[in-house]
Amino acid sequence: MIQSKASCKGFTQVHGFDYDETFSPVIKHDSIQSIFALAATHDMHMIQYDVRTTFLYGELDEEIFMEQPEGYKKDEMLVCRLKRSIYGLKQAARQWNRKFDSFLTRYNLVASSADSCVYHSNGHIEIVTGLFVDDGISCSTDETMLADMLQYLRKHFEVTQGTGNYYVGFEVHRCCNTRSMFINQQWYITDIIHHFGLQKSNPAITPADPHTHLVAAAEEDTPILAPYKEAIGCLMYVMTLIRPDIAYAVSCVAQFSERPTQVHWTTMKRILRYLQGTKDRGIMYSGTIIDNHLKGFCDADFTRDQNDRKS
Amino acid sequence: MDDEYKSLLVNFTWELVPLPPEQKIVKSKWVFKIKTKMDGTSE
Repeated sequence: MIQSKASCKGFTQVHGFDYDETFSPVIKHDSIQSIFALAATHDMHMIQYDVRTTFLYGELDEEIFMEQPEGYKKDEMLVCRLKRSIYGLKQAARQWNRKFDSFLTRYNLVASSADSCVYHSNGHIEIVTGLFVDDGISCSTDETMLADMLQYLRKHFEVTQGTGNYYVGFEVHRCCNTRSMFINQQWYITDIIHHFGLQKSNPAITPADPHTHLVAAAEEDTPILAPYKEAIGCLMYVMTLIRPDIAYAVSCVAQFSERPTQVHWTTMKRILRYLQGTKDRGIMYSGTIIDNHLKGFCDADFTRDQNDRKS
Repeated sequence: MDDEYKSLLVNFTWELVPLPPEQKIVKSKWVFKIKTKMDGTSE
Protein backbone atom coordinates (compact mmCIF):
# COMPACT_ATOMS: atom_id res chain seq x y z
CA MET A 1 0.00 0.00 0.00
CA ILE A 2 1.32 3.41 -0.90
CA GLN A 3 0.65 6.01 1.71
CA SER A 4 0.50 9.65 0.69
CA LYS A 5 0.80 12.56 3.04
CA ALA A 6 0.59 16.29 2.48
CA SER A 7 3.66 17.57 4.20
CA CYS A 8 5.34 20.93 4.58
CA LYS A 9 9.00 21.74 4.20
CA GLY A 10 9.86 22.36 7.83
CA PHE A 11 13.42 23.38 6.98
CA THR A 12 12.08 26.66 5.62
CA GLN A 13 10.72 27.53 9.06
CA VAL A 14 12.52 30.19 11.10
CA HIS A 15 13.19 29.71 14.82
CA GLY A 16 11.43 32.25 17.05
CA PHE A 17 9.17 33.18 14.18
CA ASP A 18 7.10 30.15 13.30
CA TYR A 19 8.37 27.64 15.83
CA ASP A 20 9.95 27.68 19.25
CA GLU A 21 10.50 24.48 21.23
CA THR A 22 10.66 21.23 19.26
CA PHE A 23 11.61 18.59 21.84
CA SER A 24 9.16 15.75 22.25
CA PRO A 25 9.68 12.89 24.69
CA VAL A 26 9.27 9.19 23.88
CA ILE A 27 9.23 6.27 26.28
CA LYS A 28 12.60 4.83 27.27
CA HIS A 29 13.29 1.21 26.39
CA ASP A 30 13.93 0.45 30.05
CA SER A 31 10.47 1.70 30.88
CA ILE A 32 8.88 -0.53 28.22
CA GLN A 33 10.64 -3.52 29.72
CA SER A 34 9.54 -2.47 33.21
CA ILE A 35 5.93 -2.40 31.98
CA PHE A 36 6.35 -5.91 30.54
CA ALA A 37 7.82 -7.10 33.82
CA LEU A 38 5.04 -5.46 35.81
CA ALA A 39 2.37 -7.01 33.59
CA ALA A 40 3.97 -10.45 33.95
CA THR A 41 4.50 -10.43 37.73
CA HIS A 42 1.07 -8.98 38.55
CA ASP A 43 -0.68 -10.99 35.83
CA MET A 44 -2.12 -7.83 34.29
CA HIS A 45 -4.15 -7.47 31.11
CA MET A 46 -2.22 -5.68 28.42
CA ILE A 47 -3.40 -3.83 25.33
CA GLN A 48 -1.48 -2.16 22.54
CA TYR A 49 -2.94 0.54 20.31
CA ASP A 50 -1.93 3.26 17.93
CA VAL A 51 -3.39 6.57 16.89
CA ARG A 52 -3.88 7.25 13.19
CA THR A 53 -2.95 10.52 11.40
CA THR A 54 -1.24 11.39 14.64
CA PHE A 55 0.38 14.72 13.96
CA LEU A 56 -2.76 16.25 12.49
CA TYR A 57 -4.26 16.39 16.01
CA GLY A 58 -1.64 18.84 17.25
CA GLU A 59 -2.67 22.45 17.77
CA LEU A 60 -0.45 25.34 16.80
CA ASP A 61 0.67 28.24 18.98
CA GLU A 62 2.08 30.17 16.04
CA GLU A 63 0.36 31.45 12.95
CA ILE A 64 1.78 29.55 10.00
CA PHE A 65 1.05 30.08 6.32
CA MET A 66 1.74 27.26 3.89
CA GLU A 67 1.54 27.16 0.12
CA GLN A 68 -1.29 25.05 -1.27
CA PRO A 69 -0.39 21.43 -1.96
CA GLU A 70 0.64 20.68 -5.53
CA GLY A 71 -2.16 19.48 -7.76
CA TYR A 72 -4.85 20.91 -5.48
CA LYS A 73 -4.35 24.63 -6.02
CA LYS A 74 -7.70 26.35 -5.98
CA ASP A 75 -6.72 29.96 -6.37
CA GLU A 76 -3.14 31.02 -7.04
CA MET A 77 -3.53 34.08 -4.81
CA LEU A 78 -4.54 32.17 -1.69
CA VAL A 79 -2.41 30.35 0.85
CA CYS A 80 -3.25 27.86 3.61
CA ARG A 81 -3.40 29.27 7.11
CA LEU A 82 -2.74 26.22 9.27
CA LYS A 83 -5.19 25.57 12.08
CA ARG A 84 -3.74 22.21 12.99
CA SER A 85 -0.26 20.86 12.95
CA ILE A 86 0.81 19.02 9.77
CA TYR A 87 3.52 16.47 8.91
CA GLY A 88 6.89 18.10 8.36
CA LEU A 89 6.49 21.01 10.75
CA LYS A 90 9.33 21.24 13.22
CA GLN A 91 6.97 21.39 16.17
CA ALA A 92 4.62 18.63 14.91
CA ALA A 93 5.81 15.89 17.28
CA ARG A 94 5.88 18.22 20.28
CA GLN A 95 2.41 19.60 19.65
CA TRP A 96 1.03 16.07 19.27
CA ASN A 97 2.63 14.96 22.51
CA ARG A 98 1.22 17.97 24.37
CA LYS A 99 -2.23 17.27 23.01
CA PHE A 100 -2.23 13.58 23.93
CA ASP A 101 -0.66 14.36 27.30
CA SER A 102 -3.51 16.75 28.10
CA PHE A 103 -6.06 14.06 27.29
CA LEU A 104 -4.35 11.45 29.46
CA THR A 105 -4.06 13.98 32.30
CA ARG A 106 -7.78 14.70 32.00
CA TYR A 107 -8.35 10.97 32.39
CA ASN A 108 -6.64 11.26 35.81
CA LEU A 109 -3.41 9.65 34.71
CA VAL A 110 -0.17 11.12 36.01
CA ALA A 111 3.10 11.20 34.10
CA SER A 112 5.84 9.41 36.01
CA SER A 113 8.66 11.58 37.36
CA ALA A 114 11.18 9.04 36.04
CA ASP A 115 9.84 8.90 32.49
CA SER A 116 7.38 11.51 31.23
CA CYS A 117 5.97 9.01 28.72
CA VAL A 118 4.84 6.55 31.39
CA TYR A 119 1.48 7.39 32.91
CA HIS A 120 -0.19 5.75 35.88
CA SER A 121 -3.32 6.21 37.97
CA ASN A 122 -3.02 8.73 40.74
CA GLY A 123 -1.95 7.21 44.04
CA HIS A 124 -1.95 3.48 43.65
CA ILE A 125 -1.13 1.58 40.50
CA GLU A 126 -4.29 0.50 38.76
CA ILE A 127 -3.45 1.29 35.19
CA VAL A 128 -0.06 1.90 33.59
CA THR A 129 0.37 3.39 30.13
CA GLY A 130 3.46 3.86 28.01
CA LEU A 131 3.60 6.11 24.98
CA PHE A 132 5.99 6.05 22.02
CA VAL A 133 4.77 8.94 19.80
CA ASP A 134 1.55 7.33 18.54
CA ASP A 135 2.08 3.80 19.85
CA GLY A 136 0.59 3.12 23.22
CA ILE A 137 0.74 0.20 25.59
CA SER A 138 -1.46 -0.08 28.66
CA CYS A 139 -1.80 -2.67 31.35
CA SER A 140 -4.11 -3.12 34.27
CA THR A 141 -5.34 -5.90 36.53
CA ASP A 142 -8.86 -4.86 35.61
CA GLU A 143 -9.79 -5.49 31.98
CA THR A 144 -12.80 -3.16 32.08
CA MET A 145 -10.57 -0.24 33.02
CA LEU A 146 -8.56 -0.77 29.84
CA ALA A 147 -11.72 -0.94 27.73
CA ASP A 148 -12.97 2.22 29.39
CA MET A 149 -9.75 4.07 28.67
CA LEU A 150 -9.74 2.93 25.05
CA GLN A 151 -13.33 4.09 24.70
CA TYR A 152 -12.41 7.48 26.14
CA LEU A 153 -9.50 7.86 23.69
CA ARG A 154 -11.67 6.79 20.77
CA LYS A 155 -14.04 9.69 21.46
CA HIS A 156 -11.25 12.11 20.62
CA PHE A 157 -8.83 10.22 18.38
CA GLU A 158 -8.91 7.55 15.71
CA VAL A 159 -7.42 4.68 17.67
CA THR A 160 -6.71 1.19 16.35
CA GLN A 161 -6.02 -1.65 18.72
CA GLY A 162 -3.13 -3.93 17.83
CA THR A 163 -2.57 -7.58 18.57
CA GLY A 164 -0.12 -6.85 21.35
CA ASN A 165 2.43 -9.19 19.79
CA TYR A 166 4.67 -6.36 18.77
CA TYR A 167 5.58 -3.06 20.43
CA VAL A 168 8.29 -0.59 19.31
CA GLY A 169 10.70 -3.21 17.99
CA PHE A 170 9.97 -5.80 20.68
CA GLU A 171 8.27 -9.04 19.75
CA VAL A 172 6.08 -10.05 22.66
CA HIS A 173 5.05 -13.64 23.32
CA ARG A 174 2.75 -14.10 26.24
CA CYS A 175 1.74 -17.32 27.88
CA CYS A 176 -1.14 -16.86 30.28
CA ASN A 177 -1.01 -20.42 31.65
CA THR A 178 2.48 -19.99 33.01
CA ARG A 179 1.98 -16.23 33.59
CA SER A 180 5.11 -15.49 31.65
CA MET A 181 6.07 -12.85 29.13
CA PHE A 182 8.83 -13.49 26.63
CA ILE A 183 10.31 -10.73 24.49
CA ASN A 184 12.81 -11.00 21.66
CA GLN A 185 13.87 -9.27 18.45
CA GLN A 186 14.01 -11.95 15.79
CA TRP A 187 13.03 -9.65 12.93
CA TYR A 188 15.64 -7.06 13.76
CA ILE A 189 18.41 -9.63 14.12
CA THR A 190 17.43 -11.31 10.81
CA ASP A 191 17.48 -7.87 9.25
CA ILE A 192 21.01 -6.97 10.35
CA ILE A 193 22.37 -10.40 9.40
CA HIS A 194 21.02 -9.82 5.88
CA HIS A 195 22.35 -6.29 5.90
CA PHE A 196 25.90 -7.50 6.55
CA GLY A 197 25.50 -10.38 4.07
CA LEU A 198 25.93 -13.20 6.59
CA GLN A 199 22.69 -15.08 6.01
CA LYS A 200 24.51 -18.07 4.48
CA SER A 201 27.31 -18.31 7.05
CA ASN A 202 27.47 -20.94 9.76
CA PRO A 203 26.07 -20.00 13.15
CA ALA A 204 28.63 -19.78 15.96
CA ILE A 205 27.84 -21.36 19.31
CA THR A 206 29.51 -18.67 21.42
CA PRO A 207 29.75 -14.90 20.85
CA ALA A 208 33.54 -14.83 21.04
CA ASP A 209 36.48 -17.22 20.92
CA PRO A 210 38.15 -17.25 24.37
CA HIS A 211 41.54 -17.76 22.73
CA THR A 212 41.39 -14.67 20.55
CA HIS A 213 42.99 -11.67 22.23
CA LEU A 214 42.42 -8.60 20.16
CA VAL A 215 45.20 -6.04 19.94
CA ALA A 216 45.24 -2.61 18.32
CA ALA A 217 46.36 -2.47 14.68
CA ALA A 218 50.11 -2.00 14.21
CA GLU A 219 51.53 0.69 11.90
CA GLU A 220 52.12 -1.78 9.06
CA ASP A 221 48.68 -3.41 9.29
CA THR A 222 46.25 -2.43 6.59
CA PRO A 223 42.89 -1.28 7.90
CA ILE A 224 39.93 -2.96 6.22
CA LEU A 225 37.15 -1.23 4.42
CA ALA A 226 34.08 -2.53 6.17
CA PRO A 227 31.03 -0.95 7.82
CA TYR A 228 32.69 -1.57 11.20
CA LYS A 229 31.17 1.26 13.22
CA GLU A 230 27.79 0.60 11.68
CA ALA A 231 27.97 -3.03 12.83
CA ILE A 232 28.93 -1.92 16.36
CA GLY A 233 25.89 0.35 16.39
CA CYS A 234 23.55 -2.48 15.38
CA LEU A 235 25.05 -4.88 17.91
CA MET A 236 24.91 -2.33 20.73
CA TYR A 237 21.24 -1.74 20.01
CA VAL A 238 20.45 -5.45 20.32
CA MET A 239 22.76 -5.76 23.33
CA THR A 240 21.18 -2.97 25.40
CA LEU A 241 17.63 -3.93 24.51
CA ILE A 242 17.48 -7.65 24.75
CA ARG A 243 20.78 -9.51 24.62
CA PRO A 244 23.12 -8.83 27.54
CA ASP A 245 24.90 -12.09 26.65
CA ILE A 246 26.81 -10.40 23.84
CA ALA A 247 27.82 -7.38 25.96
CA TYR A 248 31.38 -8.50 26.66
CA ALA A 249 32.07 -9.55 23.08
CA VAL A 250 30.70 -6.25 21.77
CA SER A 251 32.77 -4.23 24.25
CA CYS A 252 35.89 -6.03 22.98
CA VAL A 253 35.36 -5.24 19.30
CA ALA A 254 34.11 -1.71 20.04
CA GLN A 255 37.57 -0.74 21.33
CA PHE A 256 39.06 -0.94 17.86
CA SER A 257 36.61 1.11 15.85
CA GLU A 258 39.24 3.67 14.90
CA ARG A 259 41.49 1.41 12.77
CA PRO A 260 39.92 -2.02 12.46
CA THR A 261 41.82 -4.79 10.65
CA GLN A 262 40.66 -8.12 9.24
CA VAL A 263 41.05 -9.83 12.66
CA HIS A 264 38.71 -7.33 14.30
CA TRP A 265 36.16 -7.64 11.51
CA THR A 266 36.22 -11.45 11.72
CA THR A 267 35.60 -11.24 15.48
CA MET A 268 32.72 -8.87 14.83
CA LYS A 269 31.22 -11.25 12.28
CA ARG A 270 31.43 -14.03 14.81
CA ILE A 271 29.09 -12.11 17.13
CA LEU A 272 26.67 -11.73 14.24
CA ARG A 273 26.98 -15.45 13.45
CA TYR A 274 26.31 -16.21 17.11
CA LEU A 275 23.16 -14.10 16.93
CA GLN A 276 22.14 -15.91 13.77
CA GLY A 277 22.07 -19.21 15.62
CA THR A 278 20.34 -17.78 18.68
CA LYS A 279 18.08 -15.08 17.27
CA ASP A 280 14.95 -16.53 18.86
CA ARG A 281 16.40 -16.00 22.32
CA GLY A 282 15.28 -13.09 24.45
CA ILE A 283 14.23 -12.14 27.93
CA MET A 284 11.63 -14.05 29.89
CA TYR A 285 9.64 -12.28 32.58
CA SER A 286 8.12 -14.85 34.82
CA GLY A 287 5.11 -14.17 36.96
CA THR A 288 5.55 -17.17 39.18
CA ILE A 289 9.12 -16.71 40.35
CA ILE A 290 9.27 -13.50 42.33
CA ASP A 291 12.80 -12.84 43.44
CA ASN A 292 13.53 -9.20 44.16
CA HIS A 293 17.16 -9.68 45.05
CA LEU A 294 19.66 -8.08 42.77
CA LYS A 295 22.46 -10.47 41.92
CA GLY A 296 25.84 -9.47 40.56
CA PHE A 297 28.55 -11.60 39.01
CA CYS A 298 32.09 -10.72 38.17
CA ASP A 299 35.17 -12.27 36.68
CA ALA A 300 38.73 -11.05 36.84
CA ASP A 301 42.06 -11.98 35.32
CA PHE A 302 45.60 -10.70 35.47
CA THR A 303 47.22 -8.40 32.84
CA ARG A 304 45.11 -9.86 30.06
CA ASP A 305 44.92 -6.72 27.95
CA GLN A 306 47.89 -6.96 25.61
CA ASN A 307 47.68 -3.28 24.63
CA ASP A 308 48.35 -1.71 28.02
CA ARG A 309 48.76 -4.73 30.32
CA LYS A 310 45.74 -3.85 32.39
CA SER A 311 43.72 -6.63 33.90
CA MET B 1 -3.90 11.23 -2.48
CA ASP B 2 -7.48 12.41 -3.03
CA ASP B 3 -8.55 10.67 0.16
CA GLU B 4 -5.75 12.30 2.09
CA TYR B 5 -6.69 15.72 0.72
CA LYS B 6 -10.32 15.16 1.64
CA SER B 7 -9.45 14.10 5.18
CA LEU B 8 -7.36 17.25 5.57
CA LEU B 9 -10.36 19.34 4.53
CA VAL B 10 -12.78 17.41 6.73
CA ASN B 11 -10.52 17.93 9.75
CA PHE B 12 -10.23 21.67 9.09
CA THR B 13 -6.47 21.45 9.01
CA TRP B 14 -6.26 24.80 7.24
CA GLU B 15 -8.28 27.59 5.74
CA LEU B 16 -7.55 29.39 2.49
CA VAL B 17 -6.72 33.03 2.99
CA PRO B 18 -4.89 35.69 0.99
CA LEU B 19 -1.30 36.03 2.20
CA PRO B 20 -0.96 39.00 4.57
CA PRO B 21 1.80 41.42 3.53
CA GLU B 22 5.24 40.90 5.12
CA GLN B 23 4.27 37.32 6.01
CA LYS B 24 6.49 34.41 5.03
CA ILE B 25 5.13 31.13 3.72
CA VAL B 26 6.29 27.58 4.33
CA LYS B 27 6.50 25.42 1.23
CA SER B 28 4.67 22.14 0.93
CA LYS B 29 5.17 18.80 -0.77
CA TRP B 30 3.56 15.41 -1.07
CA VAL B 31 5.33 12.52 0.58
CA PHE B 32 4.78 8.98 -0.69
CA LYS B 33 5.83 5.95 1.24
CA ILE B 34 5.40 2.24 0.69
CA LYS B 35 4.32 0.87 4.03
CA THR B 36 5.83 -2.49 4.87
CA LYS B 37 4.94 -5.00 7.52
CA MET B 38 7.47 -6.43 9.96
CA ASP B 39 8.50 -9.22 7.58
CA GLY B 40 9.19 -6.81 4.72
CA THR B 41 6.11 -7.53 2.60
CA SER B 42 3.94 -4.63 1.55
CA GLU B 43 0.63 -4.13 3.33
